[in-house]
Amino acid sequence: MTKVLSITSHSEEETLGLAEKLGLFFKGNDTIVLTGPMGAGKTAFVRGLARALKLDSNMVNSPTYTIVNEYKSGGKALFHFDLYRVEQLSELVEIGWDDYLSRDGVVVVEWGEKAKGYLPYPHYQADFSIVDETTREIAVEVISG
Amino acid sequence: MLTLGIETSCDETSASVVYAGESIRSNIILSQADHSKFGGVVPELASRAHVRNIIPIYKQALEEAQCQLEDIELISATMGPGLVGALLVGLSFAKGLAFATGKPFVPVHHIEGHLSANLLSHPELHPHHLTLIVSGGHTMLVEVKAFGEYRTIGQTKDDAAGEAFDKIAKLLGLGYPGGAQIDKLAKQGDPNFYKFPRPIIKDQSYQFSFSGLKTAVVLYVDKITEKEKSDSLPHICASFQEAVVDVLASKTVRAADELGVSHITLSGGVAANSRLRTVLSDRLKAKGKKLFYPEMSLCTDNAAMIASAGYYRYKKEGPGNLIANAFPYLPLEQIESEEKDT
Repeated sequence: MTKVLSITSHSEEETLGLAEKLGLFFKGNDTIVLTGPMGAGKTAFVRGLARALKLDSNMVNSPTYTIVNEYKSGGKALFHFDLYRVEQLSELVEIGWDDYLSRDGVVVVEWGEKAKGYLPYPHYQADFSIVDETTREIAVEVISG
Repeated sequence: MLTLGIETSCDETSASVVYAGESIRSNIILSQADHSKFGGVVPELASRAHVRNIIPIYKQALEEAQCQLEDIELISATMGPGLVGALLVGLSFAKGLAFATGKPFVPVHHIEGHLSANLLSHPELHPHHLTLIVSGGHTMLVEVKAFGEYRTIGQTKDDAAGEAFDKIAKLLGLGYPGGAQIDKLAKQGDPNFYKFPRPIIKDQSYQFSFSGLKTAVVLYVDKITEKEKSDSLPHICASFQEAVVDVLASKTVRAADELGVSHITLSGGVAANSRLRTVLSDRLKAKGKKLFYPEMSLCTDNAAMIASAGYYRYKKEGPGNLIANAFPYLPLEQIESEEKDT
């Protein structure tokens, strides 16, 4: 496990901007796991990633119910998972998890800690924690297995 | 024309027989919350559950409608948006049935289904109206100019309203379904107990955002003791619900004014929320406008609304193509182009 950086964000907009900067480093098949409590800014982070990939960030909304949203445009793709409702890992297989990982697109997984054992190595992990109303600590690591 | 509808876009497996788009002969819905009937436990989200349930549900729909497959004249199924693995089960089943019998097939947009739920309950509805669709997966304001002519004027930037209800219910340790539990508890609570934020209520757009409200409730509950939490549970529910309802109602009333429509419909799972119905209905009435909402069984995902939408779409443009695909993401305005593309 390699710690890459640790950042303090003071607003949702700042979290979005941070993701937008990080997003420039992510390539085709990269997987980014987002962990942390409800309301910590995970979906805002995904909106920033979409911007970095030149996708319409207005398309990004929470896939809690559909488990996965696909955003595609101009040859770029972002697969946005939310495992909040997933209770058994077998459910991941049934929604085509392996297919998504092998497709050409960045995969970002909210509540991704639930997919432990099903994640490719290496992958990135961003841990979000709530400090106060507007402040969030975000620690990004590379996990190499 | 007797239409068979199939809906499997998320957790509900549903089949229905509807006559001429408006008369429901059967509407069988199996949800993840009610799985005792067919034995065993339905895994929370699995497409496999749809695979296992689709045939018994379909057979029950025919039986209850007292008809045979031969009597069905049109077959329709949801093509999206939704969970793609789940959508494919219902769509493939319906296409297979159509292919084997040579009956016409029409793929249906899930949201057009929700719009049609109100046509089923209220034939007197003016063709030009405004609709608020609020469910676990959607929060949208849509101008309906006529059947098939839609303009989405606003939707959520993050969480859907129903999702906020479910997540807050889980946070507060309430049971499933979360929305109904909050609605029930809120009846004994004070909606002004705590003033939770009304995200982007003053914003001139018709966009919604519920993520910040959800965070505000999380932070509030974190700050109070377990005892305070259990003592004020109905108040927290009522205050949270009031914030959601206030945002939804404010934007809907303003949009209705701007569009100059007098009929407004509500659909989706959150349409069952009693506070939303009351507040929205009262505020619209004060402006001389009328709110319509479907009967309870047609609020949540169901196949009757799909059969109805399928029938109207068939009347408008004839049968669809059997190579129709499932789309996890499908803007309402894209219905026509997706059908042509596939």
